[in-house]
Amino acid sequence: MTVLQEPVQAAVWHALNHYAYRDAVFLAERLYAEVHSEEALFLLATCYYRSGKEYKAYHLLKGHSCTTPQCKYLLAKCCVELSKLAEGEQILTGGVLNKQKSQDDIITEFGDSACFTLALLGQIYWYVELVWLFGILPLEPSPGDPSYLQNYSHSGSGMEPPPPPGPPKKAISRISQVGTKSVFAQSGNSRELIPNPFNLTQTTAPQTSSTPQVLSPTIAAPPNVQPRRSSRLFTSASSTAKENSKKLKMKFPTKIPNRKTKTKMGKGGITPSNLNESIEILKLDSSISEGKGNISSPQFQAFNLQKAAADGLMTLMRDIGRGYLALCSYNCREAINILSQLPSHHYNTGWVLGQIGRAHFEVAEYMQAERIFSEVRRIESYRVEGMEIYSTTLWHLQKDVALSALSKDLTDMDKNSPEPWCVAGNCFSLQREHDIAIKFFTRAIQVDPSFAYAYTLLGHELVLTEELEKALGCFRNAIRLNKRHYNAWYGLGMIYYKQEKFNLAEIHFKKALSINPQSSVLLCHIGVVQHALKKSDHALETLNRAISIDPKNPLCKFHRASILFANEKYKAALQELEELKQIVPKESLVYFLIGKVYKKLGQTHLALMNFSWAMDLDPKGANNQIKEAIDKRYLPDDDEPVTPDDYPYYSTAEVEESQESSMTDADDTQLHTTESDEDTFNL
Amino acid sequence: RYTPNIHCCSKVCNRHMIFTGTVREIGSQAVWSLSSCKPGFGVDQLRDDNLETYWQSDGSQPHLVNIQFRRKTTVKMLCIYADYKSDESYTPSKISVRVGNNFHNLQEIRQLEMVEPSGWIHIPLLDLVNNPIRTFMIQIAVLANHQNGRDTHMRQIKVYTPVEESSIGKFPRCTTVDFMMYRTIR
Repeated sequence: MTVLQEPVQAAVWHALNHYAYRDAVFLAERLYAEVHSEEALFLLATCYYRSGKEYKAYHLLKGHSCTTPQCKYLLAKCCVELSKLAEGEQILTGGVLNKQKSQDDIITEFGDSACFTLALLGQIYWYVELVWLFGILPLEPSPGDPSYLQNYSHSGSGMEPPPPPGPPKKAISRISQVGTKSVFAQSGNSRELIPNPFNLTQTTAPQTSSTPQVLSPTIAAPPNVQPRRSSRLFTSASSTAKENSKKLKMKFPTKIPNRKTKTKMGKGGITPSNLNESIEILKLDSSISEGKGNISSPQFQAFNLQKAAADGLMTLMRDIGRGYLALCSYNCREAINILSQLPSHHYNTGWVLGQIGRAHFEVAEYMQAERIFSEVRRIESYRVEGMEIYSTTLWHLQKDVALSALSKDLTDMDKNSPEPWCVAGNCFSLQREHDIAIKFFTRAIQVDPSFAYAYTLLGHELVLTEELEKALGCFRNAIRLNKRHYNAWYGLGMIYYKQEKFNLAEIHFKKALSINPQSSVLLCHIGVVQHALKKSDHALETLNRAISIDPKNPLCKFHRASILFANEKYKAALQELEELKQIVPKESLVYFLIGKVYKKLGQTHLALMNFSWAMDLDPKGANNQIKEAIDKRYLPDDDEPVTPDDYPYYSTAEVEESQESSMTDADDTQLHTTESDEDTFNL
Repeated sequence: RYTPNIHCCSKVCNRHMIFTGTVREIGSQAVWSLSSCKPGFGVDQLRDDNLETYWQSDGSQPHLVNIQFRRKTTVKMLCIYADYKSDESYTPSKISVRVGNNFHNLQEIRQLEMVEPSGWIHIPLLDLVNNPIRTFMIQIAVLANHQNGRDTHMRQIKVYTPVEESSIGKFPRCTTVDFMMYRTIR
């Protein structure tokens, strides 16, 4: 499946001209994945650079060979932006190991862009104050570029007086520097100065002279007409292309299959207008081919090739769109299916894998998500989009080393995007440094106030530090920014649950569920809340649904067992727990609950056995409920009054665990009097 | 009421209990005030996570540290760092912990004597049924110092609240990642 390169390039330039950087980047990424040409590489790098992400362009160009002058120039420019001056110089002049190129060499190599190349080199030298090299530069006017000379002479007249201690050469360096600046200041769109930078690979045979007339009636029709056609599309006077596309729209009503799917997207690289534009440009070709009925066979073949390529592009876009739509509707398995069927050169790109990783994340398949995201990091180490999801995945898996490495890498690379700061916040949250995590999430919000997930994460941290009112505010902010942010609805539900406002909690959880119906975690929470509202049958139903959606979620089974226990269905509870034991054999809670059930059934030896297993599995010994449950067995005559107790967590003995043992012994004697067993299930 | 000397010598107080999510330090949620202090040796030095800096009182006994929360807070434990080797006659020897709603209805719930401490002193604050106390205000009073010193040094004070780990249902903490990763949506 080939994709027609020129129209896609045209579409990318069109987007760039309209400052629609996200669209441009998305399309350029697809184009580069499809044709790994250096031209496509340059285009993608340009998109990254123009969208303000020089580090992305740098990493991209570094990772692939740059032989064309334009790639080299852009890479050098990125190096200068990122203060990697030695590297920049090396790219432009060949560096220390190779023979240093002379100015003439550079001019020959870079051709029309030599003026900018030399100016950039001058900038580098100015920064490192290698004045003697610099002195010769301004004496060479750049060939074939009158505008540069003009700017240069202007700046020459307005040049600043040389700094006192400098030799005359330094004065020249100042001129050139000023000249450089003015050149860059004046030409907002450097493409205009470079007449035909792109080696357009002509995939088709030359078309007849009649074709350009359809596009741009003003262009004469010389025999070899392709370069002109392309440059028309490339110029910033893109109104021509737009006019033509409009004309065509009227002439050939186009079916745009995936346009509807795009309108629902709140995020993502493709917008309807952009896609429309690229479709229009492609339709130019296909309609041309349709219009020409009786053409000679090589041209017919050429048109067919073009049409096939256009179809290929459309199919690709449509599949990507369908996959993305499925993901946004939280039809995650469907999304994974669709996106996995993309051709491998598109599948193995950061964007596609990032979406798949997110799909796994949304159905709590954190191991798979982690695998996929680490692949993204390997392929595109400069990608920050989607990394906040990766960091939350690592948070769930409690992989603190990986998370702190990720945090360091990303914050070193890009301090101006919210995603790295979210990663940093997650890292500290995992270390239980909630105040620092809050600081980082606040920073993410400062960097980008429209990034809803940062508010959600901040809300969760505030809940963990018991600032429930502030947390409510954060979750509401997240919802304000994105009504379909189900994590924020969940967060609100959790706060209401903590405040024991179970009705409100249920409402909010259900709202979250309506957005993401496949989440077994949500269903589990709803089940527990329903039990708290004394609707145990509903609760069991909900939990059954959760288990059928995701049999791997052990908490659903656990809660089902506990509800059965609370409803005195001991056999059923035991059965559930035995199954759970097979799935998660090392979970202390499972044995704890089994012990409780046996205790209720009067089988004290089994109960004790399970309690001691539970204690063994919890080496930190913080679970004092277990201890209490056992101790009560030791003191069967203990008839202290039962105090209904919701938080029978700790006793003095447990507190002193890090201390000398003498303390612990002393406190054991003043033993637990709280009756906690039945009350712990007072959900 | 009297408890023997409990101390642990690690630099970081309660490190493993924090890591296991059992307790959380909540001193930052409170307003701290002192009965008296020497300039440059006040609340900031008491709360700066630096064992080299300290609070030095500058008045008559009892010296008081007041910790006031915005709302009724569950407090499980207080930790005070005291070091006889560095502070000698400034080291507190008798401390009283009082809790209440405000300055007027404080009640002593704990009194402890310390003999040449060197390290963190853990003071659990539990009520009659061994639950962490819930209070608006805590007052730590230094009633006497070693060698009958007038003023006192206190290097660091930390306040801990118990953490309910399991987000749903009133269960103890789960111990495996397999359970924990399904515990919540983030």
